[in-house]
Order: sequence, then structure tokens, then C-alpha cells
Amino acid sequence: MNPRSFSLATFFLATVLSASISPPAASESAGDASLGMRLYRDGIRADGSPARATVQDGVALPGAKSGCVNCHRPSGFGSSEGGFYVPPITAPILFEPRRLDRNRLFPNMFEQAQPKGYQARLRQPHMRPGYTEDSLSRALASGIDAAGQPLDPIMPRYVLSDADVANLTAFLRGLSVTPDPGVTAKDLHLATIISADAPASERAAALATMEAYGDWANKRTSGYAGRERYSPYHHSDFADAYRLWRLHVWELRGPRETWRSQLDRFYSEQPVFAVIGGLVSGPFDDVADFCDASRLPCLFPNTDLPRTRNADQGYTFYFSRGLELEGEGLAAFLADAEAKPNAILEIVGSGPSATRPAAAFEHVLRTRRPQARLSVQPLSSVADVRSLSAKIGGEIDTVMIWPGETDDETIVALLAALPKTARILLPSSRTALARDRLTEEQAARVLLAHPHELPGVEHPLSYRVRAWMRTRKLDILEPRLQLQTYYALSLFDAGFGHLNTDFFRDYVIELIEHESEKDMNPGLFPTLTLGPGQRFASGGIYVVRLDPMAKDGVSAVSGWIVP
Amino acid sequence: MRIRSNSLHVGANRQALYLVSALLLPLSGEAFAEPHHHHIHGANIREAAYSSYRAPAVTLTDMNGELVQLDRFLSENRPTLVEFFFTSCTTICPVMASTLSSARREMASLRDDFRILSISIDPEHDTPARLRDYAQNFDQDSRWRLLTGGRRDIDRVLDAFDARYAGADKMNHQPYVFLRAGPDRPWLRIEGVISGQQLVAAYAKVLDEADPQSKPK
Repeated sequence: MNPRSFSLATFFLATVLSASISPPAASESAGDASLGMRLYRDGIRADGSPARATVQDGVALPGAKSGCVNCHRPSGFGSSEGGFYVPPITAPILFEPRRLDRNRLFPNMFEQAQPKGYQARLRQPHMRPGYTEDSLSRALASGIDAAGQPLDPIMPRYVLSDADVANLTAFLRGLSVTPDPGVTAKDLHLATIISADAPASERAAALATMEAYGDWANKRTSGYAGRERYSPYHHSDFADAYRLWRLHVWELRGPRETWRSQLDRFYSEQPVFAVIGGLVSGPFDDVADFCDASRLPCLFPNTDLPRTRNADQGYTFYFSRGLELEGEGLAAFLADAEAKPNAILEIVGSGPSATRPAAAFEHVLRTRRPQARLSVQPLSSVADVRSLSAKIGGEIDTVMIWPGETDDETIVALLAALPKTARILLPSSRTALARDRLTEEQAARVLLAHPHELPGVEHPLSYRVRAWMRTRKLDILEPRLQLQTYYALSLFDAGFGHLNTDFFRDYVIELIEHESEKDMNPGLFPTLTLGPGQRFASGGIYVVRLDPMAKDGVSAVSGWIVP
Repeated sequence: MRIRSNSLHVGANRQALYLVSALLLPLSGEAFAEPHHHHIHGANIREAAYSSYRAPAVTLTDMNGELVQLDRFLSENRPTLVEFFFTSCTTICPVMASTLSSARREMASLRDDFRILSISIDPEHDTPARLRDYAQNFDQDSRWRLLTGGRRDIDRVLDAFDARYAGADKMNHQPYVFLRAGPDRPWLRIEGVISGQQLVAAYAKVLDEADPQSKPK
């Protein structure tokens, strides 16, 4: 069961126990909300068969795509895509008469480029009474809404039993009813997670950026809220939606096995609505598991070891798949290169920062270039280097090194021991070593993964972001980290702003997915883009060679590789 | 280089998009779900018109990793349908794919050597493996090719078919189907989520206009 369906189940259980579900009408049958959830999310009926859905004059939808979640989304707040407005079907909206709410529709009406039919639908919706189980049954079977008017042809018609409808009704009665924790009447509580061994300058830079942004956000909204009825761009209309940002730093100390209980304790002491940025050494998996279990959006931690298993539809968003992506990208590069490799030596240092990209590299290489002979050797010390160089035959044409936690000195010694005809591949983390510590002869044979935008390619937004930082007297000592942190904050800000007063985490996740391409990339990556269920905003790498004449000492030998 | 927002036919900004949208009459009353007398729910067609487009000489990759040089592929003498999609699209793309799947037998009975190209506008995410996973949802055959490629190449194809979307943001993509009977014929550009019957009718129409004497097989 993927993390989000599990957490929806726990969410449902929580709401069952609360008093704030819209009460079912006396005539409603007692449906099973967990079966209703399965219908909503997976399109599976009570009897286990896939729901039969037809759209547009009888076109059958595949079972996997016929669940309500596809258009109405996990939060039930609907979506705007492809020129279609999909309305919300959360409990407070579905089971009540339709109310015209300009605030909720403000982004759709005024901030999106949508065709005429979409705009008409927003401004002249069908008014209708609240749905009941009966009228819901009719709507699903024949596409007639609660006011007797036809639903849009793109809304599927379903063949469902009475039990299915009862189950679905029971589930919908609990859908997005109680706002999620972390938002109070005045405050929005946010956290950032930093492990105690994070380098001091990085920690300081990340926190300073977050504090500066939070201060700025609070001044901004205080300004809007203070100008009732004559604010620019109607900002005072949203007075009920503004909250003051309160940032909490959750510092993880001690062994990794204790992190989960530390996080649970931090959360129970101060529930937060989302986790932003952060610096955690080593794999992010433990934190990602906590985010999924707590249904907590964790936005763009600064990590190169994300949890890539079961990541889609989960609660953590990442810039990229990090070191695994570098492994896949380098293997794809080799497989597609003109000079194809025939005998590859892969040297794997210690720790997940070596073993994970190595596994990814091997997998892609074996799939795409099965003809190549691949030999994998561990490396952890200078003694290993000497024994390796005794083993290496002369025919190796490519050496892939994953240093992991191995120190630079050992890597330099290793490189000196390698055959002088082999090209050498290294991850992006050792670019400085490659640039500064190699002989000219070695440097000519080195290729590096480069999972970022190329040096010298400027994105306009980066100027504005750096200017923003300077006006706030924020030293830019860790530019990459600070721009990444800024991106996480600004994307969250945009998503949260569009919630209006619907403080639901699933909804903010959907908005973040939706907002991601709106020109907020400060240029660290060629593209940052998401989509429904996507969790990795950048999907590729360049491969670069060392080039002393080029900016930052590297220049591309490939296009953008999406492995 | 920033990609500026598209407009359907002219210019390059949102005001133009709204203006042009305002000039388009919605063709189907059912688009607004108004009460209607006949029982078939019409699909959401917004516009249908002929245009000439030239595919760029770009090489895309299909779901099996095979390379497809687009201009050469489209110079083959057969009917072709082109549409744009992405695998994580939730609203219109599965509907379009299902519609294409449902219409193909009737289309084949008119002329069976057609091809359908579904081109991803999210190449960062849509690898050949993702295209395969997506395709498995739909009952389809080898006439249907799903394509991905480099971002710039995909953008060139979007440009060529005048199918750019506002802000270069794929969430703003609009439903288009481009259909023609052969390389010497203009493309029928249909905007909207076409129904199965309408697709078959449009296919019959472009075939008939290309060769009025021929009978269906």
C-alpha cells in the first residue's frame, strides 16, 4: 500500500473519531468508508472488480484511470488542467448547497490562462442543493446533478451497486473536513530538519535564508491585512487566509535509529503544517518515512540521497534523485556514446553515497549495454588501491569511481594507479578534486556527472533572487544551498497562498505540483517541473569534462540526459 | 531562453489568448452542460479548422527506445493523427487515449494503415519506461506510438503545430488532435476533447476529401 493511501486511511480514522464530519442524512445507508476510499482512489468496487466508467458518449476508461482521484485529486479539491475545471467534492462542498466563493476561485478566474468555456463554467455554475446519497447515485450513473442538470461529458458515468454508492458516500463525508494541524487562528507553523553534523556554514546559510524569507512573508501579509478594503489587488479580501510564518528548527542528534522518535517528539510538541528545506547527512529515507507516516509535506530537502522507493504520490518533494540519478545518467551516457565501453571497472567506496549510485549505474548499464564486461571492486583504503592496481588488466577502457565516504587522498592515489588509457568517470561531488588535484594527463581523461545547469547559463530569476537576498542583508556564502532553499520557500508560499482558508496538506501538495513550472526556477537546474504524483523536479544530468578555459572549469560533452 | 506564453493563433501573450478565445464560439452546447434535447452527450469540441504544419527534423524516441525522425515519419503516405500528452496528466489525457483506443477499429475499417503519434510534453519525466507503463493501461496496437525526446526538440514540434501553451506550463496544455489523410493534405486541427464518434467522423471526412472516389475497405 503506497504511503498516501495508508495515510488517507489513518486520516479517515481520525476524522471518524472527530465530531466534525457532516452528519449523514437519516435515509443514508451505513457504508464502509474504507471501501469507499478504495473506489475513490483505485476505482475498485466493493466486490473487488474494477469500476466500469464511460466518458464522452460511451468511451470506456481503463480501471486504473477511472477512480475519482484522477480528476478530483486526493484532497477532493479538484483541479484545473487541459482547459477543464474539475470542481471540488470535499464533504463541506458536496453535501451543502453550492455557494459562490470568489476567494476560492480567485486563482482560477484571474491568475490562469483558461479558455472561454472554463471561464463561463466558473462564473455561471449550476446552482444546486447539497448532494444526498440518492442524488449522488443518480449523478454517477447518469450524469445528472443534484439540480437535475447534466454534468460535463468528461465526467464519467459509472455502473455501481447501491453498496458502492453507500461506501463512497461514507468516504466522501469524511473527505477534507477538518483542516490539518499546523495552522492556528494566527500562525502557520513550519519546520526545517537539520542533522547535528551538518556543516556549520551550510546550516547557518540555510537558516538565515529561511528566517529572512519568513520575516519578509510576515511583513507582506501584515501589510495586506492592515489595509482593509483598500489594499492593492484585493489582497485585503483574503484577510482570513493570512497567517504569520513561525519557523521551528528540528535538529537531529545521535544515531540514525533514534531519528524517528526524535521527529515524532518534535511533532507532538509542535505540530507543523509542512517541513521546508533542511540538511540531513546521509540517506533521507528515515525522514521521508516520517513525512509519509505523519502526512507531512516535506519540501525539497538539500539531499543527494533521497528515498527513491515508493516516492511517487508520497509526501516528500525532491530536487532530483541525487546520486542515483548520477549513476543512471553516466551509464546511459556510456551506453549511447560513440566510443562504447567494452570493459568497465567500477570502484565502489563506502557508504550509501557510493553503494546507491553504484547499484543504479550497474542496473542501467546491464540493461542498455549488456555487451560490456563490468567488474565491480570495493575500495576503502590505500591498501585496497595497491591490490586493485595489481588486479586491473590492461584492457579496461572505462573506470567508474564512486568514492562515497572515501577521503580525497585515497582517491588521488587511486587515480594515479589506474591504467593511463582508461577514461575516468566521477560523481559531481568530486568536481573540485578533479579540477585541483589531478595531473594534466589524468584531467584529460576525466568525465563528471553534472546534475545542474551549466556554468554560464543564466536564468533571469537568479538575478532577482540574489537581489532580494542582498536587500535583506543576507550574505550569499552558500549560493547553491541558498537558492535551493529560496525555491522551496517560494514554491510553498505560492501553493499555500492558493489554499485560501482550506488548510489541507494534500491540497497544498496538489497546488505545489500545479505551480511548479511557473517560473520559479532560480536557475540551478535547466528545468524544475512536477505534475500530479511527481516528486522529483529535475530528471537529468549533463556529462562534463574538465576545461580550464571554461567558466567553473568544466564544459559539457553531452546534452541533457534523462536516463 | 525563456519561453513566452502561447496564443492559439497570433501573438505571444495572455491578453491575446483571452481575445482569441473570446472570438471562438463554443461549438457544442453540451460543453456547458445545458439541457439538450437529444440523448447523446456531445463532446467538448471548441474549434475545428484546416492548417498547414511542417514537422521539424527532430528525432524523438518511442516507448521501446526506437528512434523516430519526425519529419521523415510524417512524410510516409498514410493517414496520421498527432496529439500531445504527458503520463502524469490526470484529466484529459487518459480520456483522449481511451477515445483513440475505442475508435481504432472503426477507423481501421475505413483505412487501416493510419498511425497515431502521442507526443509527450513532459520529457523530463516521461522516459520510454514511463511511456510503456502508461500505454499498458489502454487497449492499443502498434499503430499507436508514444514519443518523448529532448526538451528543445519537443518545443520545436509544439511550435510547428502551433500548440504552445501559456507560460510553457504543461498544466495549461489544451486538448488538440491533428489529423490528415496523407503528406500532401492539410492538417485538420481539432481543439477540444473529441468523442469517439466525432473522431471516426473526422477521420472519414479527411479521407473522403483526400480521395472522394475511394470506398471504405
